[in-house]
Amino acid sequence: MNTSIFRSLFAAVLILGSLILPAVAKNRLVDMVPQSRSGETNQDAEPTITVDPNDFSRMAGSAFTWDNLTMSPMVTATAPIYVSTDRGNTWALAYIVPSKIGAGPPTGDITLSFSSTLSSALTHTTSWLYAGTLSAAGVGYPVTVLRAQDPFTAATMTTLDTRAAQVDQPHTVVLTSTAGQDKLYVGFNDLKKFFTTGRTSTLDISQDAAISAPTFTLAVIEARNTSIPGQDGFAQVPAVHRDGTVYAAFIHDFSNSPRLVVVRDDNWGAGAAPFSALTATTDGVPGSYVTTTLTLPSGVMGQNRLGASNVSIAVDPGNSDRVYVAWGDGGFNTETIHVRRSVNRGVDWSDDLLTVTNALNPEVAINSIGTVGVLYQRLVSGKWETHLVRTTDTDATAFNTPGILLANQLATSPTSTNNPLVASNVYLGDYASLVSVGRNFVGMFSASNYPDKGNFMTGVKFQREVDWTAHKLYAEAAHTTEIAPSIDPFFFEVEATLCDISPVFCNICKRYPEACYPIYDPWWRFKCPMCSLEVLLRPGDEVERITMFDNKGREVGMFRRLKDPVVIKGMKYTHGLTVKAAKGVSYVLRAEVAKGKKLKGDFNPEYAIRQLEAGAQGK
Amino acid sequence: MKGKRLGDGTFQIWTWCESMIATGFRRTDRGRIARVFATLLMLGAMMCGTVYAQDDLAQTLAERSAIVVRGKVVRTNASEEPLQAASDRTVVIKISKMFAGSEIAGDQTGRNATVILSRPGTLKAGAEALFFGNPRFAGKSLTIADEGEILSEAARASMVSSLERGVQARRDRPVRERLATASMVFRGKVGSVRPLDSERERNKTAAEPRSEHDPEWHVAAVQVTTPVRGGEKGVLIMVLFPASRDIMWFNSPKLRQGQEAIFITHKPATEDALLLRSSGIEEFLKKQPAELLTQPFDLLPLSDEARVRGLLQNMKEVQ
Repeated sequence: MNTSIFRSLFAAVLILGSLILPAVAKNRLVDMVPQSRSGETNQDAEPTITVDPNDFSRMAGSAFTWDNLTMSPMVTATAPIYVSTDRGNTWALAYIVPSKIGAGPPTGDITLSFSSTLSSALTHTTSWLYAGTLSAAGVGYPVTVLRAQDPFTAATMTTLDTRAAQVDQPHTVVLTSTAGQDKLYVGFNDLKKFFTTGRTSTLDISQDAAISAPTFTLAVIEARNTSIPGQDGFAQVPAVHRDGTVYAAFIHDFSNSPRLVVVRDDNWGAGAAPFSALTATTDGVPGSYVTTTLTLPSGVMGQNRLGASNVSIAVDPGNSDRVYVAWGDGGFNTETIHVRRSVNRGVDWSDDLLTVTNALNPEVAINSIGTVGVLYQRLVSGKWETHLVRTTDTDATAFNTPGILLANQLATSPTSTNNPLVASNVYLGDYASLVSVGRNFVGMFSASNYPDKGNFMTGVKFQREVDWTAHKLYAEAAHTTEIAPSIDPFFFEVEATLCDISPVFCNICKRYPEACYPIYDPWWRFKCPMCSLEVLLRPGDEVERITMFDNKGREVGMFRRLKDPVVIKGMKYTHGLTVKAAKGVSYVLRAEVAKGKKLKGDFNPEYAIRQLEAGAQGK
Repeated sequence: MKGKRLGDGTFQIWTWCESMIATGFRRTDRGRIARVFATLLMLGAMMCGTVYAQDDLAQTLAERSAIVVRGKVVRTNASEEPLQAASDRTVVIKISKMFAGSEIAGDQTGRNATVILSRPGTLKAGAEALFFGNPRFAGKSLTIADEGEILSEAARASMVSSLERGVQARRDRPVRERLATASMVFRGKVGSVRPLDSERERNKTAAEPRSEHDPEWHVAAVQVTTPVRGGEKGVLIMVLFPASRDIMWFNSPKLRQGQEAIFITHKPATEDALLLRSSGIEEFLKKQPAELLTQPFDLLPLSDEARVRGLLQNMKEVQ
């Protein structure tokens, strides 16, 4: 009897464990400083991360990381980046960014982005990696655009383009088009325009950066004169969609009447007048105002300088009409972050969907099922808290604040290596980094490495030598030389599922959640309340049948193969289903896989919605 | 005879020489002795040349390498770094001594490292050698991409000192570069330090682009106590330096009142024009001459005076 009870209990524990473990296993937090660099005390601030779309196990990250352990002038001619080939579980430094022996910094600002074009590297299978840096190897820290065929090997990155001094904050984004071209956008602040037009917001663009000798063009994305002399804010941040839509966000007229502006181009920024697709209703000039005049933050908060950038933008990979922005405003020694969105390609903007006081470094990303994630760092009672919040509804407007607490470390210790008495000290950095990886969120932030598990998300892992019990760091495995806490870069991955946004969809898809894909856009109904909608799909060969359910759990219908495929924006759709637009109704598509076939990752179909006049039916 | 690297049979010369000597002293007739001496003289000359060439090689390799270690090959065709595939070009070594490179990942003595050899298949397990290279990966352990290797048995005292000269030459490189373009080199004492202009004044003019990398120029009045190149004793020099602790300026020299040091100063160059216009120092320069102090090695401790004089002398001789 006892044995039977024990067996039952054991079985129950096993079943429960199997239900819980996968979710826990995917939420990971890793201090990225490698074991061999356990003696380092660098202030590894201002990180960015990128993930190879062809294989999520391949990742690269950057920070202000010197080649040496103590932030001394460079001893080699190459600065390191962080690389991982096991989805962020372990990291190594790869010394591949051009720098200079004796240079003060390894690089100035640096950002990274993987395309999804395989680079044909000999040693590893990988996609091309691109970087934008303020180069320490050049006179006056020019913006350089770099490329690595294989970031996991020893070769130094190639310089593709250089934009001379008086430039700032390169923000790099690349996306491979369906035609196989690497569309590369490096936003930067071209301060040479300060005395002429004051239009300093600029993108350096290559329409095919993977070819042997790519060409670059500059697009000045600020269409309005700022007061002259004058300038835009420090960061110009692009976001690219695979249908050719490119957005960019920046602070217009930073010097006088700062406002957050978003510009858009509908053809990869390739036309004669790029980024003029979106005009403000007030003055008819390209660039939609997201805010009224802002009071920008200044001074210092928790040892980190304020006002340096803090602009982020993300476009929904499933629907280029949906775009989210984040920024910071405030006053002296304080900053408040905000998140807003547009569902009509940047024409209209919502009020704040998220407002967090005493916070900085907002980073927004949207995953493959439309969930919006926001990473930010908030000063609470003298501690820097790093949070990831996510939306919890299919419309992606409600955030699960305060979300996941990734780290919670004293803001007063370690003392900034930079002087806290001057304005330009970098402690955590002027930005952090968040990207979506399928349905999950992957990010990188800087924080104190003081080793107390209570100050981190459960399961935190350090690669460097640590004694968690004594709360001490050591230079070597023997734990003889103690190392003072410093600022380290941290990697995290947080799992996001359908269950986060809809219990109904979660239930419908509980057997095979990977085979479900939610769709929702409130704009359908706004545009034509009486219209029907035809949902068009290209489901992929491995899928046999797709059924659509609404958020009440009702089966709406099954997709039928179209007599003639429908082509929209060059994309061919083979299946369709007509529904009536209804307020607040969202849908989930559930795929059934053909016998003998397997889904390649999550079910993530190409889809489009077209409106049909009242009473009309799809073909 | 040119010095050769490992694997070229250079070190076989020693063995041959020793056997010749042994053979020679077993023979007694004068002619043979004379021949042996002649041979020895010739070989001695060759060996001296080889040793000097080896020394030169050690110095050259050390100048090209951030990491110089002595180590023993533990495994061939092996790698301890998952990113670095094992091949006939990779060996795992146990480091017994570090001559340079502890700045990169700490003292690696007693630890294993993966080495990407300069030429494949040149070392066998158990071989001890000097490894000259640069870091490629720092993961669980260090991976070094070698510029070259020299077998340890060839590393005599003279070679070690050559190696050390190479290491020092590499450390001196950024100083030499700054000396080459310096307008003045002197030993000086900082009299006063002040911001170039106050934040309020700057906002009033508002004619400067703003960046988070603002250098926050300060001006120091520095008295020349000992001219090294240019300048006169007792003269007051206005020295502009970035007080900012931003990433770009973090390692730039920061002056404080009373500080004594070796100054390697520069005139504002053409490439600095934009930088100067953007930071309000153009106006300052119109009023009075000044020198710039921007790079990490523009300011050195007094203890480096002999080093700086030596480098200047050396540069003069080269010219």
